[in-house]
Amino acid sequence: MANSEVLETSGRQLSVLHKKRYGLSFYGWMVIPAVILLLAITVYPFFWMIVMSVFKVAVRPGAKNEFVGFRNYIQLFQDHLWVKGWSIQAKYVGISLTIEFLLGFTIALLLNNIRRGANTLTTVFLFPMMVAPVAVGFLYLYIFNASFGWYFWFLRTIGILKKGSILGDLQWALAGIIIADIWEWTPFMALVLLAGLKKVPLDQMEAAKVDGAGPVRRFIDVTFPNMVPVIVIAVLIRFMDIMRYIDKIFVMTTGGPAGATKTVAFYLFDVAFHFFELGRGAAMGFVLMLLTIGLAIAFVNLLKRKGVQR
Amino acid sequence: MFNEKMSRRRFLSHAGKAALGGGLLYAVGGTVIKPRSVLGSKDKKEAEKKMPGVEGDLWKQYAGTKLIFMSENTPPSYAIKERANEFKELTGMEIEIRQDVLSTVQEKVGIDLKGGTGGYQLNYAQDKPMTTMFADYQADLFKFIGDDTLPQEPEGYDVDKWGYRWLDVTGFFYNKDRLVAFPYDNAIAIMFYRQDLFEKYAGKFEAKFGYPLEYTDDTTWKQVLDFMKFFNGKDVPEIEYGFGFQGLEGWAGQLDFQRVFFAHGQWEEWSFDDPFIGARDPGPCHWGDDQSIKNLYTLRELYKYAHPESLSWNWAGVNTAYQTSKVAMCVNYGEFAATVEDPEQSQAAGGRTAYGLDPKGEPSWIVNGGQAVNGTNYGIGGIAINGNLSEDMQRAAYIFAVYATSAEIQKSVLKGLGGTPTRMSVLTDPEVVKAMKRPTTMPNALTYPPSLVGVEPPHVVPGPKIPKWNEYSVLQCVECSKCVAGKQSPEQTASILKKRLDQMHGV
Repeated sequence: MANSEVLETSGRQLSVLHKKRYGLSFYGWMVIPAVILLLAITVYPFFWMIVMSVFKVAVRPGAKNEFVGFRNYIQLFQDHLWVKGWSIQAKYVGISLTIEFLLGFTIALLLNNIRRGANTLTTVFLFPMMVAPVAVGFLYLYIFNASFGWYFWFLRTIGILKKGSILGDLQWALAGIIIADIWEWTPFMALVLLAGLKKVPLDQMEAAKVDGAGPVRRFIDVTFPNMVPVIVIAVLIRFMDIMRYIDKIFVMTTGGPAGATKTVAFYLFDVAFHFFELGRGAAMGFVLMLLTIGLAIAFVNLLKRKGVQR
Repeated sequence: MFNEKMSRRRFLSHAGKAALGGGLLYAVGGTVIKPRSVLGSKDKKEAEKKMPGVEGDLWKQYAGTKLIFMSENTPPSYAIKERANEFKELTGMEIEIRQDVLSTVQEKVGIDLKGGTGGYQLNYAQDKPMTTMFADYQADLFKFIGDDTLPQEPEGYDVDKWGYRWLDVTGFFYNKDRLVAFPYDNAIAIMFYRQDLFEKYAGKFEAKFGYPLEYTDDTTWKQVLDFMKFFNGKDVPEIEYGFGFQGLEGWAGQLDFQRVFFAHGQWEEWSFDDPFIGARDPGPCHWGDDQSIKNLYTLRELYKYAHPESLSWNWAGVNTAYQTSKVAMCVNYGEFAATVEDPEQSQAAGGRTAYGLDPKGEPSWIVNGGQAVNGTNYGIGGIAINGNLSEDMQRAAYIFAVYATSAEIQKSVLKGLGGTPTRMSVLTDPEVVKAMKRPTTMPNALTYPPSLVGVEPPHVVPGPKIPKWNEYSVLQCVECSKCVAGKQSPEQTASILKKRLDQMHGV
């Protein structure tokens, strides 16, 4: 009798009963371990990063950390490599992201309109994304190499690169990193945008066609407005990712030549794990994180103000 | 089934507890098997009483222990990794050698040491990029040397048993109170040049420049500049450029620039009481003095004629260029002779390459009244023991350190993979001395004659050994590279470096 009563109770009622009896719903109790784990691996280090950023972390065993207040933050603005790192970071992020988005969108449109072999082509386009960033770094290190690199040979043959170098040149080195980044991450943009294109309502497209709109007009008035949420997500994910990326720089140039590829993220790594200035590194990390979040919010708000986000 | 003996719920409950308990034990115990001392660290006799019959085998006292050695990708580590079973037979201990690029080793070992943990019982301790920072965290080897309850190297560890003051460079930091590492390998920078091309084009060069195309111990950087101009020209179709530097940002670049600086008047950034030991606080730096500015002009001129890829190359990059005939000359580390002399990998093999001391400073480019020397530097890799470990674990690790730096192992590594021995008994071994001349079965030995001259005064520049070496090397590299690339003048560069390096040391 009791069993049949329980069986007749809905899931929602069970949850309410559980909450009454144990103070938290059944599902609530189930997620607690995951929440604890998440707190341990994200909130705890985050808290320590903030704490460390106001200390000069001891460099000798037994020595105590020295509280320095905001000195680590103030010193950031006197550190020329940090300040210069922002302009390098801006170029790296801005150029990579723009080209990846434009190329990704073009590829997505292409794949969306192909009738035969679209799946095979999509898989081929996705290959670079499946390679580990460090491996991509090594790959491009080799193809840019002046001794046996294919790109090097090609650029010299067509006359773009005269008697010069790619990774050893102050102007070209960052371009080399950007090319590697575009090769690896354009497929990500294409994949996400392709998913968005598949969701563009066919009835709206049909209606636009009936109204006599050409492909460009249909793209501007139907496809693009429908794609905005997807674009925001793709650009945001990629933006937050690229802001902290150092793998390829680490492998290809180690920040050189003459600091030409030393982005803020790479310099942060240098300071924290190369110089072992953990207080300074924490301050840098915190500022980089705040700025990344700030810029991401600003981007979303900008789109909202422009009224293009639904 | 479960209802008969144990309910499903009770079974799952017990299984969960068992798994949790096991997990905790594993976590507390770590992945490393803890040593059980047989010949005790404190009281040998008491230990012998506990385990009679094993007192004779000092090597096996920590049998069952597992050690992890975090090392750079260097020849001795590859060779010893191949001998892991032999080490296990000798000691009963398992040795796991993990290898990576130096920057990753530095990062991982640094976190382990500074975090107070013992994930890596032993670590590769490169003198400047690593031990200048981590020396205080390494175990003091003095407490184990001469301990008769531990196996020891028969020839001992005195400073004269190793290359010139290599024990000081690797083992002592800022004072001689603690010995923190044994010299494990040493890569010494020497000149690699294409002797075949030097001979072939001797006449043409002499007709143009008025003196013979020869590379000797007295060849100066000014002459090397002439060699570069000659090889860069159309006279020598076999080669693209005369010279390749290794100015990659970081350690490679720092060492590369330092050789040119030191060659001219033995100029260094700081004055040390003893440069082989270094100083925690080196005081004001010498950047901005006349010689430093002159040196930057020299460096800029040299890089102007070198292969344009030079600022992106480290030792491996320049080695590839040399092997593929992109450059006719380069200063590189002796250990690369093994690949240069391999005809399957190199166009410079088969007796085409000769090895010499690094170029001498040009007397007319010296303005500080100092000596013109063949500025030579190196990177000595030490083997150090994690100071966070228990006494017994440190003793177990010491056994491996003794094994890995023993004369017998060093010689056998040299014969096998072509290592870079640090013990003088190996470097002066008759078989090794014989191998220093062609034909040889140990190509690395071809580089020893110039190496052994270069590592002694007045040519050697061992430092600067300062705790902030890593930050210094980045600053030095970035600013000097800007100067080399024509982005700022030598005067500006010297002034910027003076300001930043003094600021770094609170001067």
